[in-house]
Amino acid sequence: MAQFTSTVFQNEFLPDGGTDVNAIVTVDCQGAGAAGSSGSGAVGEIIIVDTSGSMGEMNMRLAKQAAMVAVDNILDGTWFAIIAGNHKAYLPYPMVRTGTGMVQASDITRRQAKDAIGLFRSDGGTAIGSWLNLAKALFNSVPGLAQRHAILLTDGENHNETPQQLDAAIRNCVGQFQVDARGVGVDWKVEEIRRIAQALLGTVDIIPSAYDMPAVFQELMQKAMARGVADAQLRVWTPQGAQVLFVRQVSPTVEDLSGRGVAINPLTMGYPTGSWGDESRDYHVAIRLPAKAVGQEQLAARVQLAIGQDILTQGLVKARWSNDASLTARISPEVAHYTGQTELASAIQEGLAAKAAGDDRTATTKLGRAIQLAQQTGNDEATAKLRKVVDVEDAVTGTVRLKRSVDKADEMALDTASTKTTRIRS
Amino acid sequence: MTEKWTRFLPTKLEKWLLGDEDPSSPAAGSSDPLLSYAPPGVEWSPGGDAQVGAQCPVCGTAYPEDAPPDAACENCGADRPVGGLPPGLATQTGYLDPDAMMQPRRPCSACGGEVDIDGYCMTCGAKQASERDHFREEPARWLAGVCDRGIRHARNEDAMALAAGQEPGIRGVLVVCDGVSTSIDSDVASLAGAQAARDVLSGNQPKGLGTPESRTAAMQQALVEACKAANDAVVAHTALDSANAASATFAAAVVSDRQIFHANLGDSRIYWLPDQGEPVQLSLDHSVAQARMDEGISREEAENGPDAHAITKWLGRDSADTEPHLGELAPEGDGWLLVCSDGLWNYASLPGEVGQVFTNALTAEPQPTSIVDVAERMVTWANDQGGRDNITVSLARLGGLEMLAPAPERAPAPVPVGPRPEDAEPIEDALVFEQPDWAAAAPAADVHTPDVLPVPTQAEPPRPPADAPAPAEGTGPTEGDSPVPPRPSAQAAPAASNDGIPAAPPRSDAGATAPEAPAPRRAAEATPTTPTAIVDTPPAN
Repeated sequence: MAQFTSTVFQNEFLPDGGTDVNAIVTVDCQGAGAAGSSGSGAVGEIIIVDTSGSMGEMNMRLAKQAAMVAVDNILDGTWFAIIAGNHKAYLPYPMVRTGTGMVQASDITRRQAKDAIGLFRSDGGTAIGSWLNLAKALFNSVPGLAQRHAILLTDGENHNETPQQLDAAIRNCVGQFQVDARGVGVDWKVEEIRRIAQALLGTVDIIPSAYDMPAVFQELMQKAMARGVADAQLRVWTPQGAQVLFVRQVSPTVEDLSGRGVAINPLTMGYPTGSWGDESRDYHVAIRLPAKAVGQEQLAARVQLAIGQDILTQGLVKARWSNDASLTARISPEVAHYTGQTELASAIQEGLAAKAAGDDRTATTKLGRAIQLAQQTGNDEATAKLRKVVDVEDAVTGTVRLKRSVDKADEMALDTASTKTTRIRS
Repeated sequence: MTEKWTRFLPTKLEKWLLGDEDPSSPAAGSSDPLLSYAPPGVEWSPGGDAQVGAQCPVCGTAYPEDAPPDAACENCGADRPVGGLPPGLATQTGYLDPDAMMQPRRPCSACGGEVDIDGYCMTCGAKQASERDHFREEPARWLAGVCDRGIRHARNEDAMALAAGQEPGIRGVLVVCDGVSTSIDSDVASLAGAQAARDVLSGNQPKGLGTPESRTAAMQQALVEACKAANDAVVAHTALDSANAASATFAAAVVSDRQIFHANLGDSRIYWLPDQGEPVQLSLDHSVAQARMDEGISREEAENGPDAHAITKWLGRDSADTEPHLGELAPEGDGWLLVCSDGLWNYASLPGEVGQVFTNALTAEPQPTSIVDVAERMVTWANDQGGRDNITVSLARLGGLEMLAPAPERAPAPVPVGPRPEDAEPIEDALVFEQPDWAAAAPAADVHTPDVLPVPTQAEPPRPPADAPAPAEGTGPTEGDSPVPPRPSAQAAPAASNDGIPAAPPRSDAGATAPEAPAPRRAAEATPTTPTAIVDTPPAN
């Protein structure tokens, strides 16, 4: 059984009349084991490959290879299926028309699946929403699947669906399964794919070179197979009269969970976190309390990780009112760090959006702020990626100039990596 | 702050100089506490098992070993005290009691909600004092108390142990010990001492009708035994290598048939607060201040002089003298017995002042519902005065309880209820998966081995093929940017949406390659948790 532990970083001292409590809660999971090993339920994996005409012969060949590598990494007994998508969603494997749309992995089924993948050919348009809907239907055709994960590969924009259709499909799939989405080349829309990955508790990234696809798929599937904790929930208890300002995952990536909460009881909200391997995630919770008298202490939040009904770990976020300014003025370094990283993510995204819209003035300001924040918070990856998009005159003051010609892939890499955070340096 | 007055440590020689003791007398085991005490670290057995009452409390004659436990003294005929906790005498032990862990969660001091084991309220989040920092005992409605850390001190070294029969004024025990701050583990030792004394006293109330003299002698003997038991417990809770031995004061009062017997050591106090008349202090401090007052110095001057609060007698390994001050009172009218630590009386030393604090607590609005309420108010008052020391207030009522309001029913705190895990969704009934056209080109044998597919288990007759062919589906996207892939045949299944289709696709002949009889879809409906597949391979050619 996986072991969860939690650590709270905060300055619990509030000034007289202070109401807002910020804390970083690190949740660490060890001993997760392989997917499906915990006995909590079966595991389902679906590999979704874009087979639209734009893939072309070369990308299609590499994508087939990548999908086969992914199939090879599916553990025995895992239920799986392959979806081929263009403007429609097809089920090349298993070859069933109805009923149970997934099979359990074995040497035989993996070989059959690879045979089916070998027949892929690129043709048609792109309708990612229909791929997601089919994936949901396939997962639901197997009773008792506790852990559901899909890898999605695309190379282009979602031409054959309206944004509303895609949104409807995403809404249809929220809470049903997780998706790690990858875009190959530079003709896909980061914003579009990020929406899918964020809503479906997965990651988004660019595969700039098609030749990297097999390696990326191998890593994705191996990671998925190492997630032995099927589904965990972050729970935030707050006292009566308190208000949750926000709940964010801040590491390894920034994800705002605030809107995803479900009420567990009148004082506790539950936020989905998906499956866990041996890893560590940081959460930033901000709570507003009615101010109490100086000298009083109270609990601002219990931050818990729950699997089913079991609370596996709990961190206590406290509030103590003091009129000692030396105590109350201090900002927790962890809170400051992740507040900066969160602002960094939005500065990059807003800067790139402004640049795309031709608003160079806003783009320069935002990306300048981004380089400043990346520098301050020690996010070297973001700094390096920003430097490919802007010429940095002074990182400390955030003075930058937009590069005249930018490699589209570098810009997209900066965009997809914008939510990645670094841990605080201790 | 209670401190030992070490300069006043009475040695044997000093006692002799004071005329209290003959140094030539042999150190007879039981008479010299220093010699009779169990060595530090020995297993301490609680008061209920303590070997008390081995001799008659009235004449001192030893009971024969084979005498029945309730036989009267052979010499004087006095009743023999009964060991162990007699039936009907309730005690309440919150802290240090493993059973307490199993008790229902205590109520929040701020909102009345439940307190979680993390020490914070589950409703309002208010931080709760730890059980040791603030605890209440209410063994009976007429006898209760509160023990509180106060404000300035990091630990609550005060301790309190109470016991009472349910009938008011008949049988009750109040013990208060105030741990000395300058020594280590005083909080643990003081509580162990108080509980040991409580157990001895609650187990040794004389039964039956003796003479007043025999009653008094028995009670005083029991109080001395209790003081010894408390001392043993304090010593036993001192680590062997402790440089600074745990120490505590001792104040005990026993209510027996509306009579009060009391003993004290150090500066914890016992007051009698009569309904009619002036409050009196029953205990006599063993303190520098008291010593000065005995010399004729005024109370005000004595209590404010140097070392005024230093105590001259205490329980503990380094104590030379554990003879308590003993006394009794047979009150004529109704009233209140108060046993408290200096955390209270530091702010109201004179009996009249303490009496006023008590009266204020009793008469303040809203009307108190219990004696615990009254004690809590007195503790709050002491905290409001600064809370410089730990505060213990224990009270017993001799008389009626008409001044208390009926106890209100407390609404149960909300119990957290988690969500039920969503049941697995039933298999979507009208779902049809669509195979891509390239699959049709593949040799069926290579891509479809029936024995690895989920096998339907239903043995129902196959459904006749649908009369009508599948509804013609749109042949592709209307605003597609790419050409529509050619459909394999008219048998291709309709859209891969889960919206459902009116009719199942016609069965291909190739379906016969699957050995299983295709189960009708009704079966899937009836048993949604059984994997059911209708194997429908594409045409082989």
